[in-house]
Amino acid sequence: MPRLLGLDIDSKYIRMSVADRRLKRITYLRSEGIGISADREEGNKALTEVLQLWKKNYAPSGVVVGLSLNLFTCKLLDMPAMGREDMRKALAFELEKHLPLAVDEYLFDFLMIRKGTGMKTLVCAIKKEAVSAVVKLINDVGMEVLSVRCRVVDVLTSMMEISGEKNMKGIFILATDDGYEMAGIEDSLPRSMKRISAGADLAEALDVFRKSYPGKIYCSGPVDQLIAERFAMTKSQITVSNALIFSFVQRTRLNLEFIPQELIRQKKDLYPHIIGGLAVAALCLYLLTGFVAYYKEARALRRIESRIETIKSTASGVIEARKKLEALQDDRKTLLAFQNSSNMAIRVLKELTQVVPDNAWIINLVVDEKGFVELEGFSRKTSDLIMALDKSKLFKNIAFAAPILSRDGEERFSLKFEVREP
Amino acid sequence: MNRRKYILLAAALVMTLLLFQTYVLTPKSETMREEIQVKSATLQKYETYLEGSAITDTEIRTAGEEMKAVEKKLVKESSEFLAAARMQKELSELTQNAGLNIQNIRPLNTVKAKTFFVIPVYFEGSGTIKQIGDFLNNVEKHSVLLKIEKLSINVTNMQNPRELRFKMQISGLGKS
Repeated sequence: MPRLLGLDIDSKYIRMSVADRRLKRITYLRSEGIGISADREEGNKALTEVLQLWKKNYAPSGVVVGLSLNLFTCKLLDMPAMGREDMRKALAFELEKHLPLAVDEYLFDFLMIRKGTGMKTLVCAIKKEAVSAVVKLINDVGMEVLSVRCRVVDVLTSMMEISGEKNMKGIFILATDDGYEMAGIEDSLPRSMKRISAGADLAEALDVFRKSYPGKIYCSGPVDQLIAERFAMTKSQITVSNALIFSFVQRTRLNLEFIPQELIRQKKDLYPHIIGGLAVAALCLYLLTGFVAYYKEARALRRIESRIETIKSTASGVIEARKKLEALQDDRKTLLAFQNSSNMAIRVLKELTQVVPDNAWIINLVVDEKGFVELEGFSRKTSDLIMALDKSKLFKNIAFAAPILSRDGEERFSLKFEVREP
Repeated sequence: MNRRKYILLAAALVMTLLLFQTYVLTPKSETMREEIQVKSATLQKYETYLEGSAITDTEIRTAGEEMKAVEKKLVKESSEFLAAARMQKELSELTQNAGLNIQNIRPLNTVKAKTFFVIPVYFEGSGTIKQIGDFLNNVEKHSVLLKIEKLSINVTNMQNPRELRFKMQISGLGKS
């Protein structure tokens, strides 16, 4: 289970949270704020020490860093409608007009809001060197940076989750150590972002900002009570470091990412591995089937053979006697079959002698071993002969072998029939 | 060893296994399957033997006695050739005794029937219906078991219908 460290680097405090992540579920383990010196070197040293301590205690697999809005340049641009990848390419040219340095020296990300036929695009850009300095510091401690984020957007995301409002409209304020980071919201999306220092008049700034973004005012962090009451602010105490982890894990539509391309962990393309694995599994299954079938048959054969051997050894006498009996019974059957069919021709002759009418006489008789009989001769009335044969219990299937020829009151017949099995 | 060699090795292994399966295992399996069927039948037979073992002795005795009675009627010559000669002799005597006029007599090839062999003899000739009847009567009563395989009787001359022409195939049974 990956463990994430949320890190919010403010001017006076470092706020950190550690949480376990299981897919999209987050279990927060600990949050802590540690004061740091205003001196940059000492601040970095303190940050390094704290990170080392947390690394030792919690061994996080990666760090999600949230940076102050004063490091970012945010612009709302009108762009033609296009896909996200095309928009990124287009912005690389468009931003040249809005950034003081070359676009290459910035990392930028954007939110797109469809407006009529075009796109309102909120672009946030940060200098690469600012990100690199933080990343280097964390890498030096031996930890991996998973994400670099604009903290006010992530806290706003958490605020949206907490409020449960489907269509947030107004202003969001994040009170930090040395100022206020504000976002103008329409349709639950930030349209404009700005920062004012702690010394400036928040009420006045809000009055001006409110004209552009009317609606409710939401805030997180320590805001003067009188001002909060005056503007009827909806307050939530959101821990910034927790919000960073939440936004990184949930990947909402306000997801802005400023990590350098080279540090983005490439997702392993599992598709070829899965296909390869399945192919290997299928092949193994195919091969295994053959071997298993062979093994099962060999086992069955062995079992039968051993059973036969057992029976043979324990009851050889009985088996021999049975074999002898079977042989005898076989012989007897053959002999009886021979004997039973030995006098078939005689039986046919005897039966014919009895059934053939006096006015019929036979000139040709054929009897074969299968019991087929052919009879030829003369009769006054062949039908009488056929009736007589049909009545006999020995004959069946009586039929004409040739047409009856009639001459001088005599009929020449040719019949065929079969002998019934006894 | 690099990756390509591993892949080649794996492919060679799979091919060997496939060939082994196709040309060795599958035919052996089929042979074994047939063997199983045969041996299963044998086993079943043996098991049936065991179940009915008590009656075997009585059955053997009865069957043996029946066989002895019937075997007396078999042609007892030691070889098929001698048996055929004996058959021919017996039939010649029978036809002679019946007064039949034999024109042709010849023994045919013997036919195996399990532990027996059938010795057929073909003959043709002429005679009256009485003579043929006597002959058939003698055949039926003969001490050797004779079987009339084929019989054909016909009147050849309508002017003399008493004179019949016949063709017969009569077989005896011998024990190999």
